[in-house]
Amino acid sequence: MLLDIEYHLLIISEKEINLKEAKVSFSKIYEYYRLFLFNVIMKNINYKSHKEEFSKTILNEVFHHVWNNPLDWDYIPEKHKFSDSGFKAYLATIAHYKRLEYLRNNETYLQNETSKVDDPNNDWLFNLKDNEYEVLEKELPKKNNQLDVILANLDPKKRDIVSVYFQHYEEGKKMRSENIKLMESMFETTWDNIRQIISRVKKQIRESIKKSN
Amino acid sequence: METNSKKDIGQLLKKFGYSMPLSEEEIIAFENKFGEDFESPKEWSSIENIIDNDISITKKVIKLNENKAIIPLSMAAREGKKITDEIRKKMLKDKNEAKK
Repeated sequence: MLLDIEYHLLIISEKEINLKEAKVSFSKIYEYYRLFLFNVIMKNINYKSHKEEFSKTILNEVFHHVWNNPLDWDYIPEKHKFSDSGFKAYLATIAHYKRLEYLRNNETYLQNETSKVDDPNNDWLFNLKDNEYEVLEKELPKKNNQLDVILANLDPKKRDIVSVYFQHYEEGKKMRSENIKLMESMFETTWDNIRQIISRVKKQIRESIKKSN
Repeated sequence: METNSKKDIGQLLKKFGYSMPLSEEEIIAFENKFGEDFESPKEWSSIENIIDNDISITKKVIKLNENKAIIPLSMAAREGKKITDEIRKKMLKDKNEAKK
């Protein structure tokens, strides 16, 4: 049964008047959405150890934000398809920024003020031909798809580099300076090395798509 | 190479679990792919802990590089301080004696 999210958020917003009821509503939202959000976060955390703990910490921070700011989200029919998926997208977006915040708090790279800019002529962006996009759109929903196989054949460090590249990939944009530094720091290697690994994987993806055609 | 700027890999990555899904369409695709296999943590935090902001499950600074994933426990016990020369000599002496 779907939850009346807006009603419960409203009750939470009145916690100073009725704390007990607010907690009941908060509990309902937490129990309804935590499994979804936990799995979204788990898929996007590259820590090898303490992955579950980090995911839970971020999950808890997201729900703490909801408790403190219950009226930050509301269902807008013109904007949202459904209140359920709209609210999930809102939770995932908070988690996305909390995760970035967490990474930055745990790294010292920001102390280095030297700005690093990605080469404007590199092939960092990953535009696809129409037929390539169509093949991937059909392939990626499958479990153990072509991309999973390519990733599984990489050594763990290279696999992590590609995963982090995917996680920080923004459509139509070059890699941000802070993310370049973050990846260099994470993997203790140079930006050129990282780019070479990414380029090789992109080539493999394209070859794999060609074979499926 | 002919490319269509709308055919960027970014949206596919978000929809199918390679990056954080952020839009409703991406959320729905993500759930269709992984929903049946969702896993739970060993234990969920209580809402009291979340409300009270007692939410950090791990307070240790963990680097992403697995080789240096966790501060060694012995170093944590020293609260991150370096070993003095005097203690180092004593540790070496103890180690050598233990080998005998």
